[in-house]
Amino acid sequence: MKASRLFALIGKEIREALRAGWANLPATAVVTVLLLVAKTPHDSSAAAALLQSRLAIFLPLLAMPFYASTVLSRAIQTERLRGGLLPLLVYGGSAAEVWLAKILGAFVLSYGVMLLSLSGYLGYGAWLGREVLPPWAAVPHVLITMPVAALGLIALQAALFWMIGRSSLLSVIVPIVVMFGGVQLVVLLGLQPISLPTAALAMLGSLALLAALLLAIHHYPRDRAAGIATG
Amino acid sequence: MNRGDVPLVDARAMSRRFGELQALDHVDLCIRRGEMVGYVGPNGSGKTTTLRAMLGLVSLDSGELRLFGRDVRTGMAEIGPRLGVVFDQHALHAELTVRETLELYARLYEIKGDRRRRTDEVLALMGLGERADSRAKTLSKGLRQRLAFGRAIIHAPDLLVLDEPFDGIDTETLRHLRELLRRLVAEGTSVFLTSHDLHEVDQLASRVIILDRGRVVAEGTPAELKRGVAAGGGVFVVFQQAVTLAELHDALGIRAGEDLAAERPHVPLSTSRDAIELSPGGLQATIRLPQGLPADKIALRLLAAGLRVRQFQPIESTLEDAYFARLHESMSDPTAEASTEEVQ
Repeated sequence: MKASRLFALIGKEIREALRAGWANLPATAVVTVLLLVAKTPHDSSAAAALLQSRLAIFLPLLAMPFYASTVLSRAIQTERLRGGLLPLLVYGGSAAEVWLAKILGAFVLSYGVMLLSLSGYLGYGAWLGREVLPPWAAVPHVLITMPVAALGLIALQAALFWMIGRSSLLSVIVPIVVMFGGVQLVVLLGLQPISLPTAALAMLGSLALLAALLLAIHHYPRDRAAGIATG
Repeated sequence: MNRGDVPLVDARAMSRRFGELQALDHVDLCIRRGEMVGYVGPNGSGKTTTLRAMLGLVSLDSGELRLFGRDVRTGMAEIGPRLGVVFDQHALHAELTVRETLELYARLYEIKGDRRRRTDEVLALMGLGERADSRAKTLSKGLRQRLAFGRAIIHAPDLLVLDEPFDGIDTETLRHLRELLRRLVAEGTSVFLTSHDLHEVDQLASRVIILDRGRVVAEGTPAELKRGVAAGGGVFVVFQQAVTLAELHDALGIRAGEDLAAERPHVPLSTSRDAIELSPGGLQATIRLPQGLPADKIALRLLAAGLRVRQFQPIESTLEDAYFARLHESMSDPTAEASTEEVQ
């Protein structure tokens, strides 16, 4: 795997995703804020206020995998169906290199979406006069821990696309499951405290998942990555 | 053995089965430097499976496949940079512009030196300069194919693998690509070409392999393949006065059930009465010749029967004639597995 080729591929993925649907970025941010607002208790009790402030910490786990699912669906499934994946698998690089570029491209874009969503959520809180800002100590979790954990969820989706091959239905199902499953997960986690070991474990688990996926893709015949029916 | 003697593609007994379908059945394939090999066959004959196997996209059940002396299963890192591929349906990245596509692959193939200049060269070579900033999805079919070719040759590969490259493109692009391929071959590039367009294959390929139901049924130069089918293919005759089919049958001695090409007086020419196509007015006829019978014998028999001939013109057999003759032989072979399913 070579860095120069990886960067070229990541650039290609980001460029294509933005051109194919730049409006998905602000749209995802709006949907994320609306989903969190709908799930948040609207009373002014101390418990509700605590939950509202903690949700901001876990917001990356909702916004990032959801947006990434739309990017990966186009980058993998649509590209497979149109044949664009094939030349990427024969230039001499590993199929894992191509998959990593797709995952990282989706990650970079979804990080931007997360920042947009966070701004929207904080803006919503300010507009309502509620304290939704997370404590300062939690800011590294918002900007690092949770995005790295979200990377694992993005890798999981990429693994699903890799394993199942050509499936238009999958392109529809994955974003829906991620969106509604994600909001449940975020509200559930919002009630839990974050300890340093938990955060470290989440990040390590995420990176281990990504590594396992890349190893599998590298060692498995390219039929699978290409989505070619094997009878 | 020096490097020039090593086949670029050396496949032995390639076999691959998809469920009940034997897509490849002990196929041997050898491509040497500077050769343009046409690989033809009906849908489902195994062309695409062969091509994908060469690219490491389909693994074989048995047999060996080496490109540039390296096993495809383990050597794609070395093989890939020496290959240029044009896939069917173009396989482009819809949202990238023409220039971005070429620059991306210039980087992926790690072209040494000025990549921008090489991109400009390929843009000019493919006649895409004016559309350099257009996205691939906005291009016409012909321009997309030019871009697919440009991407395939940007790194000056040793072997070009082309999957149905002439399918549905305009005449101007066809001519452009034909000239480009001839130039590349003259410069030493080898080409492996799968196509249904037998006319183009006949014009371009130095060797043709006919595949049917996963097996090679014929192989040779276009001239060799055509020679084996029929002597001259047939004759086109214009008469001074209208003739009837019965007169022609009498003149040529056609009687059902008799030998095709025996060298006797009043020898039947064909057991099939379809061997003669007579125009509605009875002034023109196309007579298909049986194997091994010279065209001048037909002329002699027509004259001997008192028919007045104005024009007599032998028809050259085509690669298409050879193709169908070989497929017909293959279909008659009871050892071949019957299946015409499309292999994807």
